[in-house]
Amino acid sequence: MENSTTTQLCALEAYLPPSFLVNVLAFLDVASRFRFAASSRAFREIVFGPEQQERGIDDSVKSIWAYMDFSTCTQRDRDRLTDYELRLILKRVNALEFTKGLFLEACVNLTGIGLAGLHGSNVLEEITMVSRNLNVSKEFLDRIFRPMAARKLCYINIQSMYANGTMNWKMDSRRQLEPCRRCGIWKYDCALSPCYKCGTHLCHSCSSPTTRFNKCALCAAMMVCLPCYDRYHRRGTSIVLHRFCKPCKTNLEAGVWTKNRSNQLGGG
Amino acid sequence: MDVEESTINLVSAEGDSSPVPLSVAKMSELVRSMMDEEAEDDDVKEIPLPNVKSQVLHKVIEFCEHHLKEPMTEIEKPLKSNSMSDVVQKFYADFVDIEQVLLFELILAANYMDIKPLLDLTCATVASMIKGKTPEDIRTTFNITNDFSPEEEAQVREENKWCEEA
Repeated sequence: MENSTTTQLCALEAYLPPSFLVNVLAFLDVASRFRFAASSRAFREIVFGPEQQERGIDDSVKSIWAYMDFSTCTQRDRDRLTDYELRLILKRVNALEFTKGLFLEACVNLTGIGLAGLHGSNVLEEITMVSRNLNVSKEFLDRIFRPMAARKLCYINIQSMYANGTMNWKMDSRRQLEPCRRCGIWKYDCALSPCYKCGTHLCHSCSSPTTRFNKCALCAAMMVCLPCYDRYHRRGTSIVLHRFCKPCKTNLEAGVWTKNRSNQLGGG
Repeated sequence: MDVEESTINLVSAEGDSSPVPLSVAKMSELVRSMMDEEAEDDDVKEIPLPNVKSQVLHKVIEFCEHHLKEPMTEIEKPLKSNSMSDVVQKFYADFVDIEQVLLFELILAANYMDIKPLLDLTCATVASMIKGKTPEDIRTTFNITNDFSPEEEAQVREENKWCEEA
């Protein structure tokens, strides 16, 4: 006789390994995922960590929490979302580690205090929040988000909708940056001086001797980067040619600069 | 003169052989790679699929044949509706209007045979059975036992206050 206390496996769980259920969860909005997780202990473990790793569940479970878009939930769910619940949600899904994007449009009852649950995140890239009841100071938002913007690219747009207007608190650290010309990755505070012709930067990890010489070694005048030099001036130019701007190079060739001065500057 | 497309036999777990046009069979990345691996051997006419039952294989072939004629609309994430007919064309909505066990086996087969549109369709269908339902409805739909302890139940309720039923 079967043990009546044994938990009966549902067809879904019996047939589909947890990694398959992750594919299913990807089609669900945040509220539906939470309701699914509330249906059984096993599903709760699938939807949230960290027990998932012990059970050998694929890391892809984490990916479903990388972007949380509450605008796809029903208006009723959005209306009922408060800062207290937002903090619980952020904690439950381990948003500090996994959440890159948080979209809280039309969550009218949020004051913004719940965003404190993101303080210290190293992965956050984007937040959009629109609320009627925004009630946090600029200092509060600065304290949470400025350190993130210093570490990583962030786009943060927090709006308060008043009956007679809109108040915005916006921060876009991406605007201060350029993507690396070679790897295409946007990086903070590591870009080299731009080529004046193409305006693009190269990050340190991608830079090479050929592209470090975009300033004249003598007068520090901006020069074009090597690809632009090749395109606009002359193909197959040497690195040495690129180390000095044209006037300095002419002076060098004319012997205006002393040999010692040239040696100090590392000239050939 | 019409040139008839060559066919290949897909062999199910039960050993049943189903001849399918190459273009249909190649919708499966598994079949495609198996054929590429054995490209030098001109006599490759059978691909064994030991993890796929005959009934499921017939459904997979039906899907692939139709997909070549009328490609499925890409399914948006998250689902906007819990009715598949609002999400994909009628054929595909009808295609997944089947009993749960067959649907789950189709998911497994789509994953095994590496047919992404079929995997998306079947997973989205399971998602549509969950979307908008209360935890109790979900338990009923999938025959799940509520195994939370009273303490866990209280914690779940606290966390789900914002999205639980009115």
